[in-house]
Amino acid sequence: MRSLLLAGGGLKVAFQAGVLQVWLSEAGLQFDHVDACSGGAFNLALLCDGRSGIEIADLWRQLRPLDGVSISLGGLLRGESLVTMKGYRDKVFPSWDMSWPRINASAIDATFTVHDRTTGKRQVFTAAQMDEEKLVATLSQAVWFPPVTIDANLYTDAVFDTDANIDVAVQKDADEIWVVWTVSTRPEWMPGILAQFFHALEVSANGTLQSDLDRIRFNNGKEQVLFEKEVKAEVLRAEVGTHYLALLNGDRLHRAVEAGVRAARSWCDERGIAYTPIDRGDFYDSGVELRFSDRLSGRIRGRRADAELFLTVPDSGEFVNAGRQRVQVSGSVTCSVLEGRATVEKGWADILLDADGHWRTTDVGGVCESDYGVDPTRKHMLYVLHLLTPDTRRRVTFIGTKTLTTPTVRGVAREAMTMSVRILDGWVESDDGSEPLCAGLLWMGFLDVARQLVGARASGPDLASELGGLARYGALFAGSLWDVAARRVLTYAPF
Amino acid sequence: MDGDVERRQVVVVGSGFGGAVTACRLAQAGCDVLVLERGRWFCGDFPRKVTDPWLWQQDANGPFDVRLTGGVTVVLAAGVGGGSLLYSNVHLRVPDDGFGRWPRGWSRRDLDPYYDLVAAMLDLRRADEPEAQRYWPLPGRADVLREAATTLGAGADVFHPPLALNFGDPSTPAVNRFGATQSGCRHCGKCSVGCNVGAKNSLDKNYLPLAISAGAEVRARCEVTGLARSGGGYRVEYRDHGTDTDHVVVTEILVLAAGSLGTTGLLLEHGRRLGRLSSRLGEHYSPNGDYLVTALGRIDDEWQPGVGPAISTAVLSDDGETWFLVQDGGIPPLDVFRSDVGVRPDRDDPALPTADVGEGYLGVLLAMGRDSGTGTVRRGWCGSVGVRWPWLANRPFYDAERDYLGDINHVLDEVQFDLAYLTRRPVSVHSLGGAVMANSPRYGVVDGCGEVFGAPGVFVVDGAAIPAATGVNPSHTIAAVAERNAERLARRLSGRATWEAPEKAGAPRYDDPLPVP
Repeated sequence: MRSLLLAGGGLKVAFQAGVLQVWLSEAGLQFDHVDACSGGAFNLALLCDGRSGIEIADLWRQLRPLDGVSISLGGLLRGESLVTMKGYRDKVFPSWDMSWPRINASAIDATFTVHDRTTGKRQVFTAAQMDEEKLVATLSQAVWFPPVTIDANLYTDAVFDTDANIDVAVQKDADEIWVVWTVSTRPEWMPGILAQFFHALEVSANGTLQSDLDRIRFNNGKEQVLFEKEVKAEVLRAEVGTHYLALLNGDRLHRAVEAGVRAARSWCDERGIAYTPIDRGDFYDSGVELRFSDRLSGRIRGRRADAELFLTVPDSGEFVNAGRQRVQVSGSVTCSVLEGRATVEKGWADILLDADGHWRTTDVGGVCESDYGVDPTRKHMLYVLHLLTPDTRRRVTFIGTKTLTTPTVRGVAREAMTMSVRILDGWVESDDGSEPLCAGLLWMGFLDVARQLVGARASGPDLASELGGLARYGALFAGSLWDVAARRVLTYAPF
Repeated sequence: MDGDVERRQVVVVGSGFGGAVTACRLAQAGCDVLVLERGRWFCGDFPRKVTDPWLWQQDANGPFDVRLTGGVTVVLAAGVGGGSLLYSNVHLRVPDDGFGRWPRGWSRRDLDPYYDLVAAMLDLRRADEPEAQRYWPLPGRADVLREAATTLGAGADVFHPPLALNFGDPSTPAVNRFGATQSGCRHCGKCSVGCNVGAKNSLDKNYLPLAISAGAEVRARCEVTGLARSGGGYRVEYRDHGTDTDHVVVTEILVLAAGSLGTTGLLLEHGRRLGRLSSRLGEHYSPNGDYLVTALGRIDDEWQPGVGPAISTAVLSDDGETWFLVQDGGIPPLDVFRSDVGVRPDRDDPALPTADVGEGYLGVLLAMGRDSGTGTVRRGWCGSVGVRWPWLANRPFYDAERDYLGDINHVLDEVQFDLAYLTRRPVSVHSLGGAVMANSPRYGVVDGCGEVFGAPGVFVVDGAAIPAATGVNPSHTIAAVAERNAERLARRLSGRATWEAPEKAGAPRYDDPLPVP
C-alpha cells in the first residue's frame, strides 16, 4: 500500500507537477492513496479530474500567475486578507477545465487535508466530497486568503497544522509514504514582514514534517508500537527558485516545473527506476531568435586578452522557460598565448544556471530524505569554446566560468562581469579539472555592459514577439541577479 | 664673487647613485675629490608634519623637487645621497635584451661584476627571505599582488625584487661597516618620504662615508650656478645656500651627476662654455615608462599600504611588444586626524613595540617599463628646464600598462583612479637620458666611458648618460655603470692600469630574481 503526499508550498508546487510528470507518466509509478495539503491540492484536484502527470505538468507550463492575482481592497481594509481566490475561481480553474462531477466520481483514493477552525482539528475531504468551496478552503492560507465557511464551519489552509498529512496515510493503511516537499529549508533568515511570515510558515511546516518522520522512525524502531506495522517514508525535497506567492512572471514558474522534471528524473536514476522521458523541448518555442555580443578583456597567462563573442539564443521562449539556458557562441579570442586571434569553431554557453548540487540523502529508520541540492541563490555561467589558433592551427578549449554568490548588488554585478578562464589542450566538451595550458581572467566594464544591452537584437515573426523575447530575456537576467543580490528584499525575484 | 679660487683634482656635482659611487672610487684611488650637493644632510629629520619643509623650493631645505614640466611631472630628490634618500630601495638588473641601444662594450655580461659590487655594497636582500622577516612578516600587499597576478594567469611572473634595506633590529641603532649609524627596518611604508631611522641603505650610509674616510670632501647645500672651461681644467661656480655666499672652484676633472634633469640642464645652460658639445644634448630622455595609479575603494586590512617596505613585490609583463613591471606601492599613512596633520609619526611604526599599524587610505600600484625613450629636455623660460614627452607615440605602451593595472584593480575590486591618463602626463621618479652614452657624437653626448664629446675631462656618470629606458627600477644600473666608469677613470687618474675597487674582489655573485627566460 503506497501513499503519495502532495505537500503544500504555494506556487512552488509547480515543481511537484514536474515530479508527477516523471513519476506517473514517465516511470509509471502507482499510488494507492494520494493526499494533498495547501498548494498540493491544485495537483490532486487535477489528478482526480482524470489528468495524467504529463497533463498536469503541461497545465502548469501554460499557467500565467498573474491570472490568479486578485486584490481585495475591502478585505484589505477590514484586515481579512490581502488577496482573494477570485482569480483562481474565475480564470485558472475554468482554464483547467475542471469538472466537479468528474472529480467526485474519481477512482483515486484521494484526501484533501484542511484545518477546521470551528473544531480546531484537521479535517480531510474525500474526492467524492469535494467541490470548489472545499478546494478553495484547502488553499486559503491565513493572512493572504480569507477563510471559507462551509456548513457553518470555518476552514483554512492546513499548513501551520500539517503540510503533509502522514496520519491520514497511515489510516489508509499505507506502508510506504512518498512526500514531495517544496517548503524551503534554506538556512538563511531574511528581514522584513513578508519574509518573516514565510519563515514562520517554514518553521511550522518543516517542524511538523520532522516530528512526523520521527514518529515513523520511532514506530519502526520500537516494534511498530505506533502504527502496528513498519512504514517506509520517501521524501523528495528541493529548493525551488520561486516565491510561494509573490510571482508575476510565468517563465519563472515554468522553470520550476522543468526543475521538478529534472529532479525527479535524477531521483529515478539514483534509485535505478526506469522511465521513458517525454520530450517537451519545443513546448515553449516562440520563434524569436536573440543575438547579443559579449566583449570581455583581461589577461590569459598574464598577457592581454580580448574576447569578442557573439551569443545566439536560438529560441527565446525555450531559453527562458526550459531552465537549460544554453546559447550558441561564435567569435574570437585574441591573446598572444593563443598566437593572436583564435577563432571559435564551435562554442556554447550556459547562462545563469542555478548552482547545481548533489543529492543529499539520509536514510535512517526507514525514512529516506533526499534533497536535490540545487541552490537558486547561487548562479553559474559556463562558456565552452573550441578555439583554433591562427598559426599552428592548434585546437584548444576555452573554459570560462562566472559564479554569482555575493548577496550585494555591487558584488553580484562584479561577478557577472568577471569570467575566470582556463585553456585546455584539445577540444573537450567540459572542464574535466585537468591541469590547464594556462589560466586567466576576463572582465567587462560598465561600458561593455551598456554596449551589450544596446547591441541586443531579436528576429521573430513580428515586432511584439521580438520585444517580448528581449523583455523575457531581460527578466530572466535581472531576476537571476536578484535571486543572488536582492534576496533580502524578496527571496526569489517576482519576475 | 668672494673667497679665493679653490683648486681640486676632481669636482663631483651631485651625490646620488652616479656621484656618490664615482666620488667614493676616485677618492679610494687617491684623487682629491670635492662633492658639491645642493641638498642638505638628512640625519633623522625628514619631514613628517604637513608644516615641515617638504620641497627643495622651500628655502633649499626639503628633500623633494617636483617639476611640472611640459610632458612629464618629474619628481627629483635633493639631499646628500640624492635619489637614494627617497627611492623604494629596489635594485634590479637590466636583462640581456635591454642593451640594444647602448654603445659598444655594454652588455649584461660586462656589467654583471659591477652589479655584484653594488649589491655587496648595499647589502641587497629580498623581502621574502627569512632574514628579512625576522622582525616583521612580508606585508599583506605581497600576497595580495601575487594572488591577483595568479588570478590573471601570471603567477610565474611574480617575484620579490632585491632591496637595499637593513632588516636588522628596528629598536637598536648600530654602527655599520662604513661607520654610519643605522636601525633595522620598521616596516612603516615611509621609504618614499625618507627614513628617519636610517634603515635604508641609502648612499649616505655607505658610499659617502667611505668616500669621506678616503679623503673626499662633501659640501652640502652647495648648488652649482656656472660651469666654464678654464685653462686646462674647468671652473665651477656654486652658491652655498647655508651661508648664502657664492664660491668658485677650479678642477681638472669635472664629474656631472646632478641627476638626469640636473646634469642635462647644466649642460644645456653652460655647455657652450665647456666645449663644442653634441647636438644630441637633451635628446633620448626617458621617464622609464613610469605610470602610477591609485586604487580607491575597498582598501582593507589586507593591502596595508602603510606597512612594510615601500615595494616588496613585482610582476613582469613581457608579451613581445611591451615590456614592463608592475609593483606594489607602500605609502605612508597620512594622518589627518592629528592636530599636526602629517604622515604617521615614527614612534608608531609597525615593527616597534608601541606599534599602531592602522590602515591606509589609498592603495598605489605602479608600473615602469621600456618606453620609447624619445623625450627631449629643453631650456625653458627663466632658466628652467622643460621636458617634451611624446605621450601619443607611447600611447600603446601606456595603454598596456594601464590595462594591466586595471586588470589587477579589477581583481582587487578597487576603483582605479588614473590621474596620468586624465592629464595625459605621467609622473616619473625615474628620469633617464638627456646626455646619453653613444659611440659617436652623432648619436649621443658622452662616450661609453661617460666622457663628454667635445669637452675632455668632463664626465656624465648619472642617469643622464643611460641611453634607453632600463625598464626596471634604474638605480642599480646607474650605480653599476658609475662603478664601471669610475673604475676606468680611477685607473686613468691614478696611473694604475689594474686598479679596482677594494670591495670588488670580495663581492659575491648575486642572482637577480627577474623571471626572464
